[in-house]
This record gives sequence, structure tokens and C-alpha cells, in this order.
Amino acid sequence: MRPLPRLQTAPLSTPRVVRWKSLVALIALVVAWNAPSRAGDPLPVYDDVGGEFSASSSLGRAVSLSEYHDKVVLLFFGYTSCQDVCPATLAHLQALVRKLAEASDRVQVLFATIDPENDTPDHLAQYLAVFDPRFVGLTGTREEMDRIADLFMVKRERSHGVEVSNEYNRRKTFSDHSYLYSHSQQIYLLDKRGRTRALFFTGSPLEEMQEDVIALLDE
Amino acid sequence: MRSDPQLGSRFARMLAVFIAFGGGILGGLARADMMRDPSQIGDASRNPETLVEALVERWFAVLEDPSAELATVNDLLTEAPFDLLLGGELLRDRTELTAWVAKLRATYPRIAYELGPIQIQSEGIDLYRVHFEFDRNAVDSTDLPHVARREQTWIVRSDSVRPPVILSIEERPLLFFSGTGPQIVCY
Repeated sequence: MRPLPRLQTAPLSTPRVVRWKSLVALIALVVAWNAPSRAGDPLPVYDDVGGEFSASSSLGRAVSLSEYHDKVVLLFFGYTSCQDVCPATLAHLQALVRKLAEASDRVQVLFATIDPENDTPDHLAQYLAVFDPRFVGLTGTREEMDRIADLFMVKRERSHGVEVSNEYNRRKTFSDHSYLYSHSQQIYLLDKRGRTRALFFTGSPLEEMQEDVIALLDE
Repeated sequence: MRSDPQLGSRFARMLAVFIAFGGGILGGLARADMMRDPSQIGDASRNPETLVEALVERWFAVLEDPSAELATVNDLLTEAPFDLLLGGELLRDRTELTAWVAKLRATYPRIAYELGPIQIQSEGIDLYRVHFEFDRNAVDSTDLPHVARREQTWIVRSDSVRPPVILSIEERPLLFFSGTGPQIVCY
């Protein structure tokens, strides 16, 4: 019988339930931490994250998630005017796809815009071709894209005319004609049934991502 | 006769030490006495907030235990109609709740909850607002693991006479991949 899964994330600040249970959980965690490999354990389903959707695309037609039922999907939310994490993440996905070699034919990268007013299907096609012409961009009305972003609990906020600074202390004032988005940066790994099975980030090791993608392809 | 100032201060120190030791011993005896007094223990456990915490833990214990009678979950709720928003479903009476628990057990034969800190705020006479986050770890009938992190806000009626009962629950899913930062500024 398979042991119950545990969230592979920052734990809740002070687990409390029954105290002996906490002790057992702690021992289990230590054992799990020292386990030689996670290979063999199926990736957990993230129950509240994701769902079916359809949107206009860079292919010049509407696409739906269920269309990719025979593929593993890597989904990322961003916008083409972004100058830091979005291109960095797409470059990371590009490297992953190259690493997957032939298996990449059974993998689909989707880039869902959080800036549908500016990211048209044509513009998305041109932008994504820089990384990989097989990447598909999703866009639509603001309402449509908000619904998809909400399904995946993506946080995003558009700001006008504000001064921002980043970790390098570069400062730039934005006029009324320019904008910025603060947004979530995770990459969603979806299985062939469209269920969220893992979350990655720009810094996730490619080997780890490859291992998880292959595991889902083999299911 | 002149008094010796050093002797005086030495006496003062000895007196202070005696009072401190004596007070400590007497205090310890008093506490030991209280520990032995069942009525004192009873008073502590009948504290409404303690009862509310026990109620939360009992609720999740029932959900975790597949052998627990479905009806036992009803004992934790008010007899009047209630509002439970659980997993996106709104449950208003005990029949709906029992069906929901049965469905949960059918979907996940094994399930475990890990609770975060429970925050309890008074909302008036005998009413408490309870808030906490929890991780739900489960395995479905195909042996596939499922994970979720959610938060719940309860309204509970609790006094020192009757057992506490749940009046409402509102559950919301949470982003639980915040360890690496859920937001980043792009421009």
C-alpha cells in the first residue's frame, strides 16, 4: 500500500494536529529526506489547481487543453513585454524541450498571456518562434484569460505610472502609456488528462523536470 | 552601638533568599494542589477556546477515519440549517453533509490532514471565528496521490455548558508553492 503523499513545499508554519502524529510525520519526513531517489513514486495530483479551458491561439485558431490529451503539457503564464522572468522561463523551457529530444514530440509548451490587450495571436506567434516554433501562445478577451489564470491560481496585477525597483536597485518610472505586471512565475506540468502534477520554476533543474515529464509520458 | 552596614546588607540578602525560596516552595505546593483538584482541571478543559480547538481536531479526525460512523460528523454541527462551503460545494443540512463525507471517502479511501496554527477570535457572546490552514494528503482508488492546501474559516458556538457546534465553514484553496515566491515583478 502506497504511503500518503506529502506536499513538497514549504510546510505550514506550526503543524499541530495531535502531537504524536507530528512526531511520526517528522520521522517520516527525515526518512523521506534521506531516501536515495524519488523515482518510482507517481507525481501527486494538485487537486485545486487547473481545469479545462479553451482560448484563441498563436496557431490562428482556438485551442482547448483537452486537445492535448495525448501529450504532456508545460503551461506558463506571462506576457511578451516582460523583460526578465518570462523570456528567462521560456528559454528554460526551450532548453528542456531540446533535452527531451525525440520525446519532445509528445510534449506541448503553452504560453498563456496575462496581457491579452497587447498580446495578439500574431504577436504571440512571432515572439514564441524565437524560442521554439512549436510553442503555442494563448490569448483572448480579458475575461477569458482571467478565467484561465484563476483556474491555475495565477496572481497578476497591472500597474500604471508607478516607480518600481527590483533586487538590483535599478529604478524606472513608468508613464501612463506603459505598464508592468506583477505575476506568478511557476510552470505547470500537466499530465495527459490535463491534471496538474508538478510545479517548476526558472531555476528548477532540467534533469528533475525531464524526469517528471518522462514519468508522465510513461503513465 | 553602631550597626554594621555589611551585616545589615548580608541580613537583607538572606531575607530575600529565604522569601524567594519559601515563596517558590509554597507556590509549587499550591500548583501541585491545583493539579490534584479535578474541579480545577475540569475548569481548564471547559475553556470555550480549548473546546473549539478540540472541535476542529475532532472534525478532521472523523474525516480521516474511514471506520468512523458517517453520522458522527453531524454531532459536531448545529441542529439548525448551516452553511458549509467545502470543496466548492455548499452544504446546508445534515443529509447533504453525510452524502459529502461518503463521497469524499469513496474518492479517497485514505486521507490525512495536517493543520496549521488555529486562530480563534471572539465574535460576541459564545460565538467564535476560527481560522486555519491545512494540507490534505490523500490517495485515490487507483493508488494515485493527491495533495491540496486550503484554508477554512469557521463560525462556532461554544460556551462552558453545552458542547461546541459548528455554525458555518467557508473553505478556500490556497497557493501552496509559495516557497520560491508566488509573485515576481516584471517590466
